[in-house]
Amino acid sequence: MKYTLQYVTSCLFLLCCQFVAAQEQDIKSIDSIQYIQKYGLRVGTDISKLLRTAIDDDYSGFEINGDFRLSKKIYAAAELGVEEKTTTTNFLSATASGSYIKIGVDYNMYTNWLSMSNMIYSGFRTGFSTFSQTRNSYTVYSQNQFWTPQLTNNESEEFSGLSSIWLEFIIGIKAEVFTNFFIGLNAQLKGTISTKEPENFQNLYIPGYNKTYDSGNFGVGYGYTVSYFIPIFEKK
Amino acid sequence: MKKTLVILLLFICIAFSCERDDLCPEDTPTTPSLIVEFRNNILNENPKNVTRLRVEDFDDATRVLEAYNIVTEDQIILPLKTDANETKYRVYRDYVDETNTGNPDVITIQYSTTQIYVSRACGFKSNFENVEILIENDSNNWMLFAAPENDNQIVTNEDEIHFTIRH
Repeated sequence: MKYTLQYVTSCLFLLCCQFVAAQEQDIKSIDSIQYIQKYGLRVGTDISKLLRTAIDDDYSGFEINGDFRLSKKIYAAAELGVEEKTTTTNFLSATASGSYIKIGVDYNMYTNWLSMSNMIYSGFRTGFSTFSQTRNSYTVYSQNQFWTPQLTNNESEEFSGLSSIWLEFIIGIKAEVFTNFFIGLNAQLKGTISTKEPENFQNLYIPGYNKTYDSGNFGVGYGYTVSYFIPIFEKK
Repeated sequence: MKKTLVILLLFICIAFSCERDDLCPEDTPTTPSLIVEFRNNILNENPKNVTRLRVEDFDDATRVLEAYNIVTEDQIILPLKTDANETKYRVYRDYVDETNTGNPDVITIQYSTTQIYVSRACGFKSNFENVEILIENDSNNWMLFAAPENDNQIVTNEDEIHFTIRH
């Protein structure tokens, strides 16, 4: 009895499957129009870095970013930039200065209508930065304040030849606002793979990686991009 | 689309749930103080209390170390100046009040400093090397002898006694 029941239900499922398959075939035969997909190179810059350079005295930075469409949903992407940032806390001040490159892929999760090429994407990057860090000043920290002030050292010291490698998870959107002209925003989560720390000091800021945290080897970032798409070839 | 939203939200949560790194946690070892134990002059392994102890700034008699204002103790924890190579204290035994000060002795702590990086929030701490305690001679010293625990005594933490003073 049990086997008979299984047999019958299995057959029913099989029938259903065939039915669904038949439907799909029908749709395909009706949908004979195929849309042209543009392939090419998109180049742009991060306007948040330009804006921050103008507003924030402690920061200057510039980034060129680009992506190249490899297939329907996969894009090769890269960012190249320079940054200088002064970090000031209650007890010390340091300036990090250097350049970075990030290379990776983006995966477009958005299904476009017609021939549009907007993106809601996530992707990965490998980031590499070489930089120097200058300790501008510091004041010795002491919990006991019977003797004040504590020693303050204003002699700046430069630590050069520093570097860092990290992995980055990125998520964002890119929207075509005019023909071939895109605006986008993205958020980045970073994890350090290796970093060269200065002697008797710490990398407080790494160009491309942003602020480092005492509590872990992770970092965060964001970007507002404007970019222009240069069409190279078309595919159906 | 929904999936994207969930991932985005997760992202924001991670980005903002990070702890604040700008406050130096109290349990982080930073600039250490000098720990001195008072010992018996004859049985010099035995701690010996100093009665009615008062410790004040050598240059300013109104500035007294809060924890040592007429107390009976066999140990004192002395903060050291980080911007100088010596710190001077006046230490009283049997202090009653300003007119009856008991027996004051002056100690000079000499050392060299090095600055060691701790963390973003705490910045740098100062460590002390080649620490020496000099007891200034007067007609009636109650402190008899100050001995470091090690040669070229260093003060890098507050986990151990650095000096003993016999009386």
